[in-house]
Amino acid sequence: MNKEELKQLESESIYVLREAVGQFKNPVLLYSVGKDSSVLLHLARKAFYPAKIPFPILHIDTAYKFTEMYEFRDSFIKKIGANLIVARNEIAISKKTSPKTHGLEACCNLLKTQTLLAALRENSFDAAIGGARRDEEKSRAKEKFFSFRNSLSQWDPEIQRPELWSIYNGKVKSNESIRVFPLSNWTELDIWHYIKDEKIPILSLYFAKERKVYFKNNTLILNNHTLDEENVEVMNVRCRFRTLGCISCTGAVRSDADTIDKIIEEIKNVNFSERNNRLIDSNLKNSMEEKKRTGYF
Amino acid sequence: MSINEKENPFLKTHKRSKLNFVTAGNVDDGKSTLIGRLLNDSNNLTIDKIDDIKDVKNGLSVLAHASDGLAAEREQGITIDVAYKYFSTKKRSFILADAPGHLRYTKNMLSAVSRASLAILLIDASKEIQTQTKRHAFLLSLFKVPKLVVAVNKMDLVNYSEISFEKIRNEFIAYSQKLRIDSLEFVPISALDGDNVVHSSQRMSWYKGSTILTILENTYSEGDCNLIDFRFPVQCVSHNKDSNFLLGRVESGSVKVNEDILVLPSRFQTKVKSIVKMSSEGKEVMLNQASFLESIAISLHDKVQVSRGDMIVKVDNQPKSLRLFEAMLVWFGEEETKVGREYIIYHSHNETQICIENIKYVIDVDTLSKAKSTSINVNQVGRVVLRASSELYIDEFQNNKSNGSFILIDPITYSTIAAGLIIDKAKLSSMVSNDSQSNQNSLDVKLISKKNKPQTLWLTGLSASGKSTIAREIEKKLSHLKIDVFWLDGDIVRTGLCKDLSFSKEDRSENIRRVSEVAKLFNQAGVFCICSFITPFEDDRILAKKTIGEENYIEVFVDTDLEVCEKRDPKNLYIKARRGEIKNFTGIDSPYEKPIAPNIAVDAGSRTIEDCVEQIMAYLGEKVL
Repeated sequence: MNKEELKQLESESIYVLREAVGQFKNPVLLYSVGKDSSVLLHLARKAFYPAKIPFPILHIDTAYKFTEMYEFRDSFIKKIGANLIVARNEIAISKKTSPKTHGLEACCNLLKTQTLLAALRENSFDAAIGGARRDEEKSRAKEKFFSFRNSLSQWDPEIQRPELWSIYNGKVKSNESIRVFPLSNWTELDIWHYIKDEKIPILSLYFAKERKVYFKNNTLILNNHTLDEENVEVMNVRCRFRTLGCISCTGAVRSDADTIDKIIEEIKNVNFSERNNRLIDSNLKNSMEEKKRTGYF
Repeated sequence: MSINEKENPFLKTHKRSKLNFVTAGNVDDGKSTLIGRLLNDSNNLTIDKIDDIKDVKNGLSVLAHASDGLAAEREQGITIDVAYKYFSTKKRSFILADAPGHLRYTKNMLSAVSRASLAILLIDASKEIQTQTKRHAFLLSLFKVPKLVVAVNKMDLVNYSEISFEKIRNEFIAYSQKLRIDSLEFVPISALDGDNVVHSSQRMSWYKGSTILTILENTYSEGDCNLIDFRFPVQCVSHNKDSNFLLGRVESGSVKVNEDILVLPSRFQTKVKSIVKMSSEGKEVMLNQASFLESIAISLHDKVQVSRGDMIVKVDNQPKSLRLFEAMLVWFGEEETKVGREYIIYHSHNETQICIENIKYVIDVDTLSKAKSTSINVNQVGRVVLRASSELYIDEFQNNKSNGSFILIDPITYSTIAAGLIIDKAKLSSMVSNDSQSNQNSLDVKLISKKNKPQTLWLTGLSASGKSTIAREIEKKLSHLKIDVFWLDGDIVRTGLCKDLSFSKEDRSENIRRVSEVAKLFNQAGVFCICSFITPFEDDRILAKKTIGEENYIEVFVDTDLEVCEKRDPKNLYIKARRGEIKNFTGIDSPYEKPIAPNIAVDAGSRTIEDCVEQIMAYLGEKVL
């Protein structure tokens, strides 16, 4: 990995973040506490330095996130002095909505998509900046840097605006919005190299250690006390998380990689793509595409 | 640009940066298969992605689907929007944009093209070059993609034959003569079997060039950057303590601390106080200088009011400041545009109103000829004069891609409806009337072709009037001017292409029809054509004019008296005709209808051949070349 490639990516992302601020009245940055979000937040700090990040940070909390994520989120946001908004679908959470009661799709829709859309509406955000990357998944590979969403926040690949040279058209009518993806051109490997070079703090869940897990649909799920499934065989496995979402739907991968260097080596040689451990993505063949059409990132 | 690595360290470092490249070509020429092959053979396909594609269809062709992302696309078997693929080899990493081939998705294709440092254009070796392919080649050259690799695919269908490859190669070169392509390479491949994609082909040992991957690995990725003219369009301004920081990206050139700069449009002159970045620890890093494509924050010595859309430049190197300028537009709007229409323009972070002041012509992509038009329709390319409601600080696209480009936005729907490439400032005269034909031509020559616009010079006249002699001389003169030219002569054609034809009126018409078609093809291939045929009937000449295209057809009447011709009679044809040995001989027992309105009439009976040639060359020099 050469430094030039990271410089090139960093400059492009900063450019896009500045376009978001230059073109919109009220942008917001979506922060999931994961590695991509952490890189995005770091880039946002760089983009507006020496001033502070000029927009709020929004976390969509499904209440099913890993405990460490909440602690990490609060301490890190405090450290950089950003303005954090936490959005939760309290009604759905109080009624114990879970993949078990509603199924994967409906649970994800209620706790993530609908919560996000409500938060965007309530705060009148006209642009939402997210850390999605094109190399994650095949429908994301079709995404624009400035992704147009209609008044219902829906994505329609047929009506996206062409992105010529580095000119982004962020003009929207009331209720329409743009999703901004500054990390579009980053790969998983780029992210890790950058985290290493820039010493960006990340969750320990990304590093391998022995964890109590059980098997669900061929995926290693972390055993936790809030969502324990019945009749599962819990075992100790040395593993790490390649991506992070909700506890019950994010699988760990068997791994010995307990340092960033080892993670980089592991990714270089891995035979499976990044989101292969996300139950929700593999549930249906075009699952991400469907979710995006309803307003998901 | 003549700056070498020694003088400019950036050239060296940027060589290893990610290469953005695009694949283009006709719908069925195997783009997706090539991409699948490229990813697979360079070990960049993961097992789950291979699994995902295996259930579609067995066999290697499913590699195609490795790049089609949307359900609708897989169902219809077409690419709607650009799919970006990321892969790497030991040497470097790549951003591959799989661009849609359909005319309908031209805007998506151009999005990818506008960012690419290299383009791979797929051509099916077993077919002729398709209109779509020509269209893509034209757009790639219009958008000035620095390097074009023509991958002649499906070599397996033509038995890996060098002759088939050369045929396509020559055909493409003939077409691309009219285009501005700086760097062009041809590679014979079979995407299906992998020949010359990642691995050299054993079956095409006659090919000594590089594989596709080797070319990709060795292409310089910022080949189109302007290293000279410093342009810093301000994206936003941030306030920190008592300083204002101008946030933006150096789009071209470079800047140093303490250098004199000028703020546009206020024209306030000051110096760069500091160039700042944030370190990984959140601390301040002061830079001495910054170069193209670096995102930086600048503070100035004096407190100047600066806002988004302003541009920082150097005092001795300023862009043009214009309201009225010319541009090529690629129109995406479903609704056509016309003179007088108003839009929003985005140019270098500046947003203002713009009016279509004049449409000079639209380009027919097939023939690369231009035609007068009062409107530009969806997916057409047209040249326009634009009037902005406030001054824009512009460069020509040829010199500066980022400051020479813009988009137009529909003021009602807000969709992006055109891509614009700035050509030159509009001449003052165009405010009053159209530019003169010659002026227009001289500018076109610059944009579209390195050479002249290919046309057909049609010489008509009696046998022995001097047509062939004049044609031969014109051919020589044009060749000296480095113009590709081909001469089609009646006698030669009659021994080959038209040897089945007699001299009856019907067959004479068929003779002219065939020759006109051939002349048209030569013109399309970028070659100037000279036709010397008796062409005795006005109807046939009208047919030739129609076939070749009115704007490309130049009629020369070689006006020599029958008496003079009969006296010359170099092949004793008149004598034979008089004796009745030859039937239907023009001037003897078949009529010659004099041209009603030839472009040129030369009197080859009483004037010398040199005089006639000079007269024709003068006409060409004024109207065509």
